[in-house]
Amino acid sequence: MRKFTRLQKILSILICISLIFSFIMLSLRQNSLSNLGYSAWTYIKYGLIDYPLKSLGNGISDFANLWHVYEDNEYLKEELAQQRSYKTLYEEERNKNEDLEKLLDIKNSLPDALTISCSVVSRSASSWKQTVTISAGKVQGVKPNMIVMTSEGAIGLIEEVQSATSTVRLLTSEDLVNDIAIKISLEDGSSVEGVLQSYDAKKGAYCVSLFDNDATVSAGQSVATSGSGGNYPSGLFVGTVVDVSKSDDAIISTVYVSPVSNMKSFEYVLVIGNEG
Amino acid sequence: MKARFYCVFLFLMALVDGTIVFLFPVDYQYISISFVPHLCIAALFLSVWKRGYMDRMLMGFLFGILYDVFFLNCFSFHIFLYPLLTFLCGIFQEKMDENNRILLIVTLILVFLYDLLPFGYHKFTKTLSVSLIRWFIHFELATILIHIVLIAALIYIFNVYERYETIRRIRQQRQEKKKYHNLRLSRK
Repeated sequence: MRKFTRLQKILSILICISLIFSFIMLSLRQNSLSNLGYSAWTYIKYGLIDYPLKSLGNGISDFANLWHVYEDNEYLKEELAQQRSYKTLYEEERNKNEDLEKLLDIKNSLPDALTISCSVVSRSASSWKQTVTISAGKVQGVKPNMIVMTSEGAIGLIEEVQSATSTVRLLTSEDLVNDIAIKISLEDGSSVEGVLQSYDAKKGAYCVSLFDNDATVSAGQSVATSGSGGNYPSGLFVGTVVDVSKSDDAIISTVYVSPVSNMKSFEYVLVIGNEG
Repeated sequence: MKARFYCVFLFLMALVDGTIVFLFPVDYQYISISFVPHLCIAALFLSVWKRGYMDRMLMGFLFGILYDVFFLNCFSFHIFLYPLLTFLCGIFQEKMDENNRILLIVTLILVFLYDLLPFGYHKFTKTLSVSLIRWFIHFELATILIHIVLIAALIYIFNVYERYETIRRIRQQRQEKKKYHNLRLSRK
């Protein structure tokens, strides 16, 4: 009988040992042998291969993602810059909208008056407080001495009329030719009338002379047009009393009225005159 | 030395198989084309084909038991499949010894059988419903094509190792001859 070689004997012993162990484990329904082998193999594979490869892959993808992050960053920077400009545009449009809504309210409150909506065409820096040119003229029905209002109140009178444009003499002008007849509503329900004659640049207020020097006028009271004289209706807001100047014998000499808040900057105006 | 080398090499090939599967996971839904590495089993065939049939079958049997018990936790047909394939890998020993190409072709066929026989078994027991053609195209085609290169590389590695072992043995014999010669001279 042929003898087994040394290798064959070793292999046979190993096979027998493995078979005995596996039969024991299977008969006891224990999975520990397979778990042991599988766990050991899995740990070795994980430690030597899987984990280093995964770490390397993560490192490479992180590095690659840096480029994406850079591109995203550039894109978002542009978006942010545009957002700021969108915000400015939005605020500008919102302000315009508010102005126009107020002008529309004023227009609707004067059903019997002639109202012409227009915009400022030009306003020279050298004559910023003197005149503005608006986009309405003879064609639209503008006439001299019509009052011009912004959303806050009266700002001037029509001085010259061309066919499609008109020149407005602002109330803050030094050369205010025509006076504006005004009235101030008093606390007791009565009113006192006067004329807006000029503008005091030092005080920053209109100079108004009252017809009744005994009237009790105090700061904070509203000043509106009286409608007498001039080509405009009554009740149009002109300004607010800021100061009252009295002479030595306690008679009111001059009432100072602050102009409307948006006198320095306005875009849309309403030209108002009497119908017909 | 040789046995140690083969054991370590087979272990390394098993790790490489695991790495390839980790990097390129196999699609068992047979939708995309997959490559299944069998470097360990190919290395086993290449390390046992020169031996006698008993050695080959015992080694295959041991491998099968270890695989079934430690990984599958059951006695599946690997304890029969491995000895069968290791037996078959040495039946054309003379031809394989003369020509490396025949060795490559035989190893490739055995690797293919290593996949085909379990597939056939699962089809027979109706645990798998995919068709043979679909299985071959999605699972086996890339495997066979890539293994041509891999098995050729393994054959080259084994040949280099055999040559190294031969050179080492010759060197050892020469050193022993020299030692005995010196002993004889010293006695004189």
